[in-house]
Amino acid sequence: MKQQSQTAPREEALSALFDNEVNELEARRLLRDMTDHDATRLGHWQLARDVMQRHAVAPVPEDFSARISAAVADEKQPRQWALPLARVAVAASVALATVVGWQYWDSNAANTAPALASSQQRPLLLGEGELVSRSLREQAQPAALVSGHQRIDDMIVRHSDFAARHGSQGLAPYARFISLEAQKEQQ
Amino acid sequence: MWLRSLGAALLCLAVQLAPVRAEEISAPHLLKQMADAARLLEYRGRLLYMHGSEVTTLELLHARIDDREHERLTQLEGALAEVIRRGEHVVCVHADQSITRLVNRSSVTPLGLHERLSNSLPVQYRLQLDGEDRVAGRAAYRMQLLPMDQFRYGYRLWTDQASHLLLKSELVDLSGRALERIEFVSLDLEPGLTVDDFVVPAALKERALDSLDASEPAHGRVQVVTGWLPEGFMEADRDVRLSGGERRPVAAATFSDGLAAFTLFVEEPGEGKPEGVSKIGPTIAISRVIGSAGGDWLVTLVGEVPQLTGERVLADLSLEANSD
Repeated sequence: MKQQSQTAPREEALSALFDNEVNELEARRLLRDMTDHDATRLGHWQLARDVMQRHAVAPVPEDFSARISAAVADEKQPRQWALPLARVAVAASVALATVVGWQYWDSNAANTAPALASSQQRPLLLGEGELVSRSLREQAQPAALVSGHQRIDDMIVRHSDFAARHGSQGLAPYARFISLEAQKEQQ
Repeated sequence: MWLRSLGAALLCLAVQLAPVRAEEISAPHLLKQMADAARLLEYRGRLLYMHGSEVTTLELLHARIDDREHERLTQLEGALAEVIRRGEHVVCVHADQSITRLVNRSSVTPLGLHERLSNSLPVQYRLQLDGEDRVAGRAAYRMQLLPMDQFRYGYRLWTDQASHLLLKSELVDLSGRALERIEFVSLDLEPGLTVDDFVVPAALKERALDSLDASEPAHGRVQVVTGWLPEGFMEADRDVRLSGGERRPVAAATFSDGLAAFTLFVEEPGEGKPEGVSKIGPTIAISRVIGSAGGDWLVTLVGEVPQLTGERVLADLSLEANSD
C-alpha cells in the first residue's frame, strides 16, 4: 500500500514531464532523480501515444534508453540559466532528450514524414511528437543559446515584423514583441 | 479630450444596425467580416496577452486617418513598450526608450492584417464554426482553424457578433493546448481618435536595423536554399541588415503558409553565438551551424512553428555562395 502511494505521484510527475507541463524546477528535480526504469517507461508512453495517434512508428532504437541516460547525465551538469529565454528551455530539452519522436532519429525515418503527413485526410486534433530531436547531443544544450539572447531578441523583433506583414496573424506578432520587452525589463 | 469623429461613428452605427441573419452565419463569411472590421473600424480597447505564465496588459488603438490605417499597441504595466503603425511605417518603442523603425519595403503589399486570410484560406487549414461564446462582455462567435498536418499550429478565433471584430485568438498546439492567447477585456467602438493619438514618443536613441545598400558587396554573400518546407510554405520576404555591435551583416528570409511564418537568419558564427534551441511563448529559436563551400555559417530559425518543423527545415537546408 505504502509503495503504491509513493508510486502514484511519481507516475503523475513523469506524466507531466512527458507532456512538457512541468516548470523548470520540477523538471530539474525529475531529471536528477530519473532512473533507468523511468526512462524506459517514458519510451513506452511515447510509443503508446504514437500508436494511438496513428503516427509513423519506427522500431525503437536499441540504444534508446542509453541515449536518454546520456542526455539526463548531461542535464545533471550544473549550468547557468538565464531568464527569460531559458525559462522553457529546461522543460523543452527534457522532453527532447527523454521521450519524443524517436521515429525521427535518423534522416531516413525523417524522410518518410511528409508523405505520411500529406496522406492525412482530416485535420489533426491531437498531440504529436513536436519536440523532435535529430540528435540528443545537440538537443541537450538548449540553454547555451541564451547567452546571446540580445541577438535572438533582435531576430524576434525582425521576425515579428515579417510575420505581421505576411502571416495574417493579426496583432499577435506585435504583442509578442511587446511581451518580450516587458520581460526583459523585469530582469 | 477625445473628439468624436462623425464619420467613424456613422460607420460603427451602420455596422451595428446591419442585422446578422442566421442563414448568413458561416465561418468563411465571418472571417471576411472580421478582416473588413479590423481594417475599417475605429476602436480602442484593453487586451490581455498571455503565453505560459506570462501575462501582459496592452492597450490597442485603431483608426483610419487620411485613408491610412493607424494602430498603436501599448504595454500598460511596467516599462513602456509599444508598436505604432502609421500606414506601412511601423515603429517599435523598446523598454529602454530606444526605438526601431521598421521601414517600408517595396516588396510589401499593404494587406490588412486579416485580409489575406479571409481572401484565401491556406489549404493546409480547415475552418469551422464552433458555437457562440462571450468575450469582453460581448456576444461572440467561436471558430477553429485546424491544421491539416503536424507541421503547423492551429488557431481558435472569437469574433464580435455586433461589430465582427476579432475579440480573442489562441494559437493552439496539436494537443489542443493554447500556446498564446490575446483577448480584449474591454472595447470601445467610438473612441474618437485623432492623429495625435499615434504620435511616436521622443526616443533616447534609435536602434539600427539598417538595410544594406544593394550595391554593397556583402549583400547576399550566401543564399539560403531550402531542401524541405512544410506543404504550402513559400518564401515571403528577404533582406540583409546590419546587426550587433560589430555591424555584421545578417541575412534573413521569411517563409509563410499564409498564416504561420518563420524566418531564417544567416550570420557568421562566432563567440557567444552557440548552437541550441530556445522557446519564448509560441516562438521557437533554433540555431545550427551549417557548412557551405565558402565555410561555416550560423543559421537561426525563428518562428511560430512546432520544433519538428524547424528542425526538419534546418536539417535539409543548404547554403549557396552568390556568384557576384
